[in-house]
Amino acid sequence: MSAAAKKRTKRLLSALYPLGAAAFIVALWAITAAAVGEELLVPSVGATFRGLFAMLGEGATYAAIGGTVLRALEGFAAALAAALAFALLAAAFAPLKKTFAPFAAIMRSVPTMSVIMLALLWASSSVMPLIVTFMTVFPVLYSALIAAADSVDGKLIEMARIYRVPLKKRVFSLYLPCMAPQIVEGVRSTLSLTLKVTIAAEVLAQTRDSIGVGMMQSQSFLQTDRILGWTVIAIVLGALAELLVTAIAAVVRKLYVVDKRS
Amino acid sequence: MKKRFFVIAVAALVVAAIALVGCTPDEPQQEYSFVVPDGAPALGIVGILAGDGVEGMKSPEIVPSNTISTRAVQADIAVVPANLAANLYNKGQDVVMVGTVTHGNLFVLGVNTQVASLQDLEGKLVCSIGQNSVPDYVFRTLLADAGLEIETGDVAQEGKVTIKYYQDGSAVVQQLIQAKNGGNELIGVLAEPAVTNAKAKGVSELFDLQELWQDYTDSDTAGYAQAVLIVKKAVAEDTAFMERLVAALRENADYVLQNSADVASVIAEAYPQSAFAGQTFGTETLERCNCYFESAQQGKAGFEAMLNAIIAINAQAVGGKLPDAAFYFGG
Repeated sequence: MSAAAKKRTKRLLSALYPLGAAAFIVALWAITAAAVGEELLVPSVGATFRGLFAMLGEGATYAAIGGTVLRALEGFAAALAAALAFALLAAAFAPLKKTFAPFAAIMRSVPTMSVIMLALLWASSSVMPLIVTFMTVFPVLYSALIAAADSVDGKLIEMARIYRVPLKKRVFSLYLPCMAPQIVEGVRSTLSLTLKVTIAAEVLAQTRDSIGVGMMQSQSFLQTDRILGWTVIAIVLGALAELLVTAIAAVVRKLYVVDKRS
Repeated sequence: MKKRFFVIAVAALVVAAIALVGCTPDEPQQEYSFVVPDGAPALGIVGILAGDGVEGMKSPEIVPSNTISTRAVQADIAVVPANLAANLYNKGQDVVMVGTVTHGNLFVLGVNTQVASLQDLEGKLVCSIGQNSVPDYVFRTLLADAGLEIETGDVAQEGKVTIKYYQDGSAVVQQLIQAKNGGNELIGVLAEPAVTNAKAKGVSELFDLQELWQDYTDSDTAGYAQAVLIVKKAVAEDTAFMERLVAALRENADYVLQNSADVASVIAEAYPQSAFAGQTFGTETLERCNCYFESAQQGKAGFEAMLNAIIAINAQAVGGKLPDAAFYFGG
């Protein structure tokens, strides 16, 4: 087999593995549905996708998707901006890092449910998911970014200090470029978490135009196929978000190369 | 290494699948199983819990109200919201409706308000419970009948009634008390026994929705079918058992009113995490919970009126249509 053919086979196989895994999940689902034999408890694969396609023909579905995506993005953007600001401050000034540590530890351990319960009392149903998303995602991002800042080459930091490089330049020309790969990884891995938490908060806040309320309604109307339909939509949204981050990261890398080999 | 991982993964999935399959509803049973959602519906059967039970049936199991739809699919006997009963039947479940056990316990309350009629709710924010549940449909039907436009949201809107939904009554009480202390006007829709608690904290009662529903439907009695009892067809055909069950359900109303002090603790004993745990209800409060048994044949017209009102708002909530005659026990 020629080298080119081998490469082609390899590429084909790498596409086949995830497809095989997906087929396995669908097969397991089909077997479970058939074994339980109760559409109201475990709807069949066909029924779920029929439900999903019916949902995709309804305007309300898109209003819900739009509402949830917007809320998730708002909460996420706020958390990312805050995490970045605090992580950079902590990286630049060691005493601040120690001051922030207990706050970060508390936020990491606060149960999401207690945030939800308190936010329910304090905030409106459209703001509550934002608070919950922020409180859940911020500590995760902060920890990731602190680790990223710690990984910046100490010698470069030392050099910047000796040559009295201004703070602005240190942040934008040293810290951010060096942290970029880890920032991208942190963002990618927390986006799906953001979506999950936002939807959970929407259920409890009964937020208008949201996937959460859509799921809750499907549950109270005995439309289990639609609950799974919403689940498929949420999974696709999470995957799309990750793809988008990967694409943006690739573009940024091209425009703003930090070549580790140099 | 990779191979071993794969084997473990497959094994784990197979075990999971078997576990799921193990949950199938149709295991052979000696006695009929009976599930009831926590809250007011439990009051409709509390006499059975307190007494010697019914021969041929397990003691009623109280379950969280948000799990009742799936639990009802699996159980032989269940108390379910009226719309869920119709929905189950319309979705092909072999259920029969035996009768209504609770007939509504819904009231409109307010603080710092001059509201004297439903029309006065125009332009106001109303905190309510149970989006897409029977109480919600009753309230929305009455508002629509009063010529009001309804909107869902967080802030009051000019010319409309804006409903803000909460997960449970305690959250609504909290909002009302907060508004009262802040000197703000707020309207809330609540069910007994939470209404009595709210009134004890200085919240005023504005309307009895059971009475307004009676006017709306022009019926002889106040109230509507809220929670109903359904049984699987096989149970309905067990005539001797059905006679015992219906007799026990008929005795429940007297039990509740004669033992008002014990009702909450009987429920909490069977279900410690009950919303009623640690409470004691007065006879008057329990009277306002409207729990008495009315057979499916007696209550059919009222039940259908209720379903028609729901269909006008959202037919999906009842599974698309009125159930046919086979749905009603004793027909």
